[in-house]
Amino acid sequence: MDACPQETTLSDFLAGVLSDENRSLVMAHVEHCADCQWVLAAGDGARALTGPSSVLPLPPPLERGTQVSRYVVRERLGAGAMGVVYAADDPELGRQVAIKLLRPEGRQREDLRQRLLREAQALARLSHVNVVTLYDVGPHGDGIFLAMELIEGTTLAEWMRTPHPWPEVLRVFLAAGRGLAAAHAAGLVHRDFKPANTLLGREGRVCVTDFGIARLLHQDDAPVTPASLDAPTGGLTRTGLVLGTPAYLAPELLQGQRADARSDQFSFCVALYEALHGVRPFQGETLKELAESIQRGQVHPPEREVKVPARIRQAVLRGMRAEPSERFPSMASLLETLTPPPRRVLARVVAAAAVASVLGALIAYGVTHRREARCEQEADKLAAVWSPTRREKARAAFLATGSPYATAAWERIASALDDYAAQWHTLRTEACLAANHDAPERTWQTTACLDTRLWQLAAMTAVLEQADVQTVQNAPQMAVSLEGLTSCRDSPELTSRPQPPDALRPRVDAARHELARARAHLVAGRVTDGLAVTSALREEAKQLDYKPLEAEVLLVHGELLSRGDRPKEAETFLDQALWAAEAARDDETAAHAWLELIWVVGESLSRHEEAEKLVQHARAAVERLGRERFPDITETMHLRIASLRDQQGRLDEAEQEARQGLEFSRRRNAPDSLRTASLLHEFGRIRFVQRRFQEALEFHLQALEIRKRLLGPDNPSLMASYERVASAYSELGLREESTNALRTALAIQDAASAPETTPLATVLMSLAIDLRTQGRLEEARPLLERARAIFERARGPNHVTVVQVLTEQAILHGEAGDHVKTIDLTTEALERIQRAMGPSTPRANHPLTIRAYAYLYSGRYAEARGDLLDALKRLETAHGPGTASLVQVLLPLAEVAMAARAPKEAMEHCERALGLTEKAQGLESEDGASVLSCAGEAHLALGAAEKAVPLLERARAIQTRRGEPSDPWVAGKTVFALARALWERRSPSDRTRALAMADEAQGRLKPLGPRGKDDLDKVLAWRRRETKQ
Amino acid sequence: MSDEQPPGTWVALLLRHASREQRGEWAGIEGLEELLRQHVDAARAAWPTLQLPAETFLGHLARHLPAGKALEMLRIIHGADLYLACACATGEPTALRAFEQHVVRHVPGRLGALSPSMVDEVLQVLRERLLVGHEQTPPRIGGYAGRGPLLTWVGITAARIAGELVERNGREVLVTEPQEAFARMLATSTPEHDVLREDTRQLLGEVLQKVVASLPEQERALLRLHHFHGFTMDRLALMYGDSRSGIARKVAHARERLLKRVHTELATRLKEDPITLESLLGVVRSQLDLSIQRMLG
Repeated sequence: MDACPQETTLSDFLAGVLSDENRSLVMAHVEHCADCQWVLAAGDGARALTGPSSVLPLPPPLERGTQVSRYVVRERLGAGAMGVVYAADDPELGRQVAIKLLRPEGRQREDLRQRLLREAQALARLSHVNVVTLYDVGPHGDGIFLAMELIEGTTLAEWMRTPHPWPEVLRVFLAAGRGLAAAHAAGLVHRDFKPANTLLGREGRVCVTDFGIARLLHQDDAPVTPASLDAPTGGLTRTGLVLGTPAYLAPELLQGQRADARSDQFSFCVALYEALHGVRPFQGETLKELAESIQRGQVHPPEREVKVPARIRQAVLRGMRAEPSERFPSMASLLETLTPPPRRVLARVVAAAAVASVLGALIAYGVTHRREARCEQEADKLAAVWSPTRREKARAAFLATGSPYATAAWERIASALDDYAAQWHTLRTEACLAANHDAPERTWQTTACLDTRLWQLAAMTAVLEQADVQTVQNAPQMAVSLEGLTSCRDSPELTSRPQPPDALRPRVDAARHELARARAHLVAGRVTDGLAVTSALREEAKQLDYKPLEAEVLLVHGELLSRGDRPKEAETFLDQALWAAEAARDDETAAHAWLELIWVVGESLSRHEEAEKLVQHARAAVERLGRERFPDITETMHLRIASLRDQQGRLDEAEQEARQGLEFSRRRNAPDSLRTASLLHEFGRIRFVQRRFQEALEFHLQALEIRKRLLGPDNPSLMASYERVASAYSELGLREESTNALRTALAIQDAASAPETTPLATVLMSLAIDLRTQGRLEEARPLLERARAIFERARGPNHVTVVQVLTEQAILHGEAGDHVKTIDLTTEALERIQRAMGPSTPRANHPLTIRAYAYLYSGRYAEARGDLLDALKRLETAHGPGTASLVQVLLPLAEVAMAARAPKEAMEHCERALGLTEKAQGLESEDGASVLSCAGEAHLALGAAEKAVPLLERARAIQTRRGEPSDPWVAGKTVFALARALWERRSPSDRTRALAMADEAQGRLKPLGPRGKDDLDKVLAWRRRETKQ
Repeated sequence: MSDEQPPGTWVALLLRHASREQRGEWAGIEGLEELLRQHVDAARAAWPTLQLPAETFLGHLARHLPAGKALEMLRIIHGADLYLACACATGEPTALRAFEQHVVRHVPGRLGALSPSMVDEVLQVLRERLLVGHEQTPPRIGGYAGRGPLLTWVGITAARIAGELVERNGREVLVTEPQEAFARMLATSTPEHDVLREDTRQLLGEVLQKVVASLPEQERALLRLHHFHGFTMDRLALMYGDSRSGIARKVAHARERLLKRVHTELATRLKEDPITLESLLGVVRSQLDLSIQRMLG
């Protein structure tokens, strides 16, 4: 069937009354004829969302007395396309209301219903004399009901049927415009403003109605008012009007873009033009023509001769510009231009007063009808801070960094800032509008608090606009660092900073605005930029002599220095910040300074004695502030102290602190929070030192997951997390997983081409250890050199991390057989760490142990023993005699004793290590294998081969439980001991197995090159000796 | 028309307009009197102010009963609508007003997004074509046979007129390009979509166009009818001569295919940008959920 079917055929087709044969023919045609599909849809009425179509039965009208929610229906006022309206009583409040029942129909009904509800709930928050008040909204049957103010009168459309003098027109429209402006201020857009949606009450009150709702229903029918409801449609001539018209729609909406306040402004001006001149400004036979005449700005000349002032005419024309940005920035400014001159002067005075002083709010009291416009204006400050232009600039800057995760980072921070800005606008407008009702002091605190937050936002956008690689990396932290807005409303007295006397205010405000920029730099990791700002501000603050500001500036300056790895200078400024804060009784700044000092003095500068006092001061300061009131500060405190205790080797305290912090943070944060992740890492580190590696791994993995989600998977900040995960894997013998994690970390760093930082150095060191363990000593060497350079540059020569690298370099030499060099390097490491952390620091245990091995292999047993006993004493003093960390010293002690032919002493050490390991992580662990091996060798040396065999068998089983052993050298030594023990049993089968074990030992040690050479020689010598006999 | 018609009267009135064969057929219909009475009652209840004599109405009805299918038709016929159409054909002013208010008034809503001037023009032509007779020919509204609602028939006629006008004027496109329509169907007016950025939205549009074009014609038509034009499953079942569940399955199947292809296409284009991919898939997925709800409901 090629020709389109007749109307009646299509109608029958829809009704399903065609014969099968005809139906198939029609269907075949319809499937490829879009016109017929469209025609059928017109017949089916599926497109029409409501209306008394024969397909969708109308709901029966509600009887008098029917209850809708708590309202009791009295009479039906009428029905419009959007629904039926009833007059009803609200028995609870004893007033009459209008109940509008909306029944979204057709496709996406449920979706539409939800959106209507949301929209209506938003509208219900709005209370303004020129907006029909929506009292209540809720579901009713399939649809929803709106309970609204009952207004008796007519519509603006009806009113416009007859000409009115222009001042009268202006009066009515100004009122309607104020209704729109108030809605805009509350973040609502009407989307379908037109005369038919505006009511004129009997007493002359003008009200805009159906905010956002009409457009949602896509229904342009006449509104429901008592006046127009059941009125005859007026026959043929008025059909066009009944249908409604896109004449009032802004061109951007005709193009399907989103409505904003400026679209309402356009509709408003079109209606005003029509009311003034009796003719619609833009005309066109079709939508396209209409849109074109708008684009051209081709305004239809007035039909009747009206002497409208040029000022008003100009304003209306500007409001009808096709390009939204060419219209007035807001309804408020349009209204101001339209308002007759005398009032305009007053408004200017008011606005000026508002800017000049907070007392402006009080002066404005009584000029109620201006307030909404002014509030709108105040809230428009936001536009200067976060506008589409600035957003685009920042985006471009992000992408220009070429960072591979710039897009992802941008999307995250942009959406966070969008939300933040929207929330700010709402709260700021609310606060401004509330100035009349609430206690002025409190309202003022709220606006001051919000304005401070706006500076932060401004500072952040400024930093984003000049984004570099560092900024992109830190973008997620920046988003997190924006302080919450609702606290400004809920508890402004807690959130606002001390405020200066009025005379100082402008300069203090300006300085704080600048300071916000420095903070943004700090969070973005741009230390130099930040210091440039604070250095300039220090002068300004001194001159102002306003202590709280001085304290703030000094604090940020100190924090920047600390972040820039300049702890000495940081300490100086943080001390000054502290004094200024104390002088100003500014507890918050003081607490921040104490906490930063814990890090700077206690960890960066490793001055542990002084750290004690700092911890006490910090605790006291946080208590004074209130833990719950300043949760961020509280979390930082736990983190800082836990980290310090860990550094000091006071593990129990560290654990307790970290646990408190974690509980606190989990209670108040969503599960994903960067602070929670930091605390998890801290916990992992503690478990690691306690050698409970499985638990350590789990904590680190949890932290890694959270940070990946929050920071993006390519963020170089993840390096530290990967490194910790890797070291836990490594200790668990999962060498491959460990290497993979480290390589992932390095890949992220290289891809980001970020500057070389300390986390990178840590990764390099761990990877070097992995390589060394596999005997790849030459590959490990350059990595260690790079790591040491980074650490020395960042932390100074005596820092723990530098000492760690030094020790690791010493091991590398030792394994290559150069024990003299090992002794030199470990001796130097030892001196450095004692310089930094005191002569009895337990941190010295590692270099001491390594030096002891070097002595051992050089045959200097007494010196080896001396070093190890020294290390043992330090650890016992620091952690108590029951700590598992002693195992690292007890095992080499046993080796030394064995070498010195004191197997009894060796056995004591082995057994002690065994007990500790069993308690801490169980024997099914790398340490477990080592202590079993230790005890086995001791028994062997004591001539108890029978006792030795099962221990060594078990050690071997543990080492190979996951296939390849994690350290082939250690495994090789164990299996060689097993070979010897089996040999001692003398039975032929045991001897055969002993030789097989010796083969295995050779197989493990040989690929290790110099690292395994000594022990390999021992195996070969033993073989020659025993098999000769 | 008075209420005191003796029994059998409706049949007698009907028979006055019957041919010989019709007489034979109708005489064999059991309960014919009752069926007719129901239609007359319904018509009078719906349009109490119309003056149209019952005899005229029944004569009109008789002309629209096809041979051999009278009973079948009488059971489904929209008596009240037919009554109004008949009254309009006689030119009764009350009927014309009722037609205007109860039928024509709802036509614009069914025409979708046409400019107001265009709608005006369509309605003018519609009135002229349906209500005004010419020397030899009676008004076309007399051609409405009562199968299916009057509004449906008028809506189809109006839509055809709109099509003619567009062709004549050549300046307004009636049917949106189907591809774009699909893009809209999947992607507009959801809160998720609102948050998408312009370039992303464009990308989604492009992908949808491409994918839709790749669907078999039948599936494309089915999706378009259901999602864009809003035909219900029941209506589609009638049109396709299929069961409701059969149609629902077909629609679901077509959608599945569409969404799967959208996933694949998006995944290829957004390899480098997993976050955008996730959010787009989210939009598409939430639409799928909505649609399933609708199909079940």
